[in-house]
Amino acid sequence: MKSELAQFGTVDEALLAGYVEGDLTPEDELRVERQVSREGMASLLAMRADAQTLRSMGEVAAPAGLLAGVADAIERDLLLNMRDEGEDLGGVPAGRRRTRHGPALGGKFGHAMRSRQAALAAVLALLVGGGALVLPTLMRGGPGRSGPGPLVLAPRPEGERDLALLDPPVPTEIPASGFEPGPAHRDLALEPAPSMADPGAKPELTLAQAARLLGERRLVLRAKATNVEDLRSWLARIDERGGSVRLCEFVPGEVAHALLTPEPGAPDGGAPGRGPAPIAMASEGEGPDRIDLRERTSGALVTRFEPVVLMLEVNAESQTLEAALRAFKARTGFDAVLEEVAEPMPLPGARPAADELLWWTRPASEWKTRALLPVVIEPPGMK
Amino acid sequence: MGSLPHQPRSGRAGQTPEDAAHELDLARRAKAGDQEALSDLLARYQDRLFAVCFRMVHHRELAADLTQDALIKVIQHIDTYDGRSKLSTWVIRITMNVCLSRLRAEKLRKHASLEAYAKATSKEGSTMGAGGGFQLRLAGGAHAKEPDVDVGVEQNEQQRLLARALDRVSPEQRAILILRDARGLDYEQIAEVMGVPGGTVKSRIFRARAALRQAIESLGAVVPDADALGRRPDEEDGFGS
Repeated sequence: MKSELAQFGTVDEALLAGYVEGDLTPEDELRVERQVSREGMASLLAMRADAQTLRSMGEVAAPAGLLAGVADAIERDLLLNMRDEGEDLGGVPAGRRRTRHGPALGGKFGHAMRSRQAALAAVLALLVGGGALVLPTLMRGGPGRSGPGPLVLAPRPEGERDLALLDPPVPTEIPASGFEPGPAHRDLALEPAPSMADPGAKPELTLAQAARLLGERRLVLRAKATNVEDLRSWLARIDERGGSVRLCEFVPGEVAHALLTPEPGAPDGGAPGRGPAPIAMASEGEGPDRIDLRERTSGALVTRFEPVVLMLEVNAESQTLEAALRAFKARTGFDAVLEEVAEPMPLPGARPAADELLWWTRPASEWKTRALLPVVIEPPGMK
Repeated sequence: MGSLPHQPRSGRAGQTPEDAAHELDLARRAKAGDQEALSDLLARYQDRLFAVCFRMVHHRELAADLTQDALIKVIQHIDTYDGRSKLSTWVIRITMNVCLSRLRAEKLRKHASLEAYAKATSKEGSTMGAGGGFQLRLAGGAHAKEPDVDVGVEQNEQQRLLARALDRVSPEQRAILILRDARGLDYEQIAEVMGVPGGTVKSRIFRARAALRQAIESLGAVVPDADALGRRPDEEDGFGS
């Protein structure tokens, strides 16, 4: 390097740098040119060209999924920290803590994270367990052969309200539903469970049970509507606003097929859950295992359509399910029902949206288990 | 005076005042626990940081790994950002530290493996001395597992040559050149990112440029004559040669 620099004589390096970058005064430039050899000048000008080449190199875009990788790494970090916290309790010096990325999470976030570690442990257990099961299930493509449902965590966005409140009923072909979210309905929400009365022998399905089934991928919402596209766009609008419900674009074909195919022997096209159907319905019609808000008759104009299956990602909790029932009823004018499915459906795990990437930094009280809820939309005439 | 036209600073790191103000606002909100703001910040920076890492290592996967490490450090330490420097400078400093740490560790690892290889060869009573053959084998062995310099993203031969040459200068010199030319940082920002006195930045930049030029020439590039680079005839009398 010295020999490389020797060609510039005794000229100050800062001056030479300025010459290469062209930010010298004319007097200084002249000074450089008088003191540097011809070879040195050639090198200076070549350096100037190098700098321009370097500037001309285009941007390189980050690979897709980089931020998701950050979230994964942080989860791993938290796991390691938790494991080491446990070691600390066992008398291992704190200095032995292992972290993947340098020091343990520090500062405000770190403190907040550490304080949530107990909750996070449960959360990650679900995440890891669910994640391990989702892929094999999808690869096998078979329903009902996996364990508990895929539970992907996402925060409950701030300001989340009851689903029914997100998008109040708007005039459609259907007359007003009569559902008005208000004190009366809040009172109703405080009741032990909506009436799921059924003359059948089986015990009633409560909302709490429905929430558990949702987590196990064994819950379906069945709704009636006069216009499925209207319903779809309504759900999409809810999605855009953020909230406890998100409309997913992908519906596994196998799930849709199983939910839309009447089982053999069913007089009304929706058979009771018997036989070895891939996804067997535990009940159908007015069966005992459904949450059934009494259907209202409606004089609405009906746009005929074939039943379809939509997929919602929802918070796996009874409040969300209850809100969903109310909202569907308010929107369509028809009662929606929650049905138990005998075996877990092969549903993929939900992915957090970009704005939910940092769910783990929110208060633990805001963490919600997310699950996928297939929604069967039928025209009103169907039973 | 050289007549090669100067390009203005690229301004890749040079944001508009509005952008800088918005990012500062995001940082303040992120410090206050606003996760949306922090997410927004990360999304805004991921490309810039990846570009820095990629130019430092010229390997996509490694650059992605380094970028992730840097972003994680940003998340972990956002509450320590005091606003005295520009947010972009602070973030790039973290990123550059991550890159330099990795490259230093790699250098140590490579050095250790070379030493081990030399010892092993010596114990085996190899007929190869410390001369050319041994050096050849060492060079081959040492580079066999190193990732190739990824120059596929460069648009022309000159850029590819420069990318290869960058890989041959020291990581610190590479960093300074990337900060100055590829990212458009000013001297003060470079001093801050590199943790060096402001008064030494210009000379460091010049030494880095000289080292890069030497690397380019060692790769077979010929230094064009000053005349070929556009010196005007009337400037000739300034040479004194």
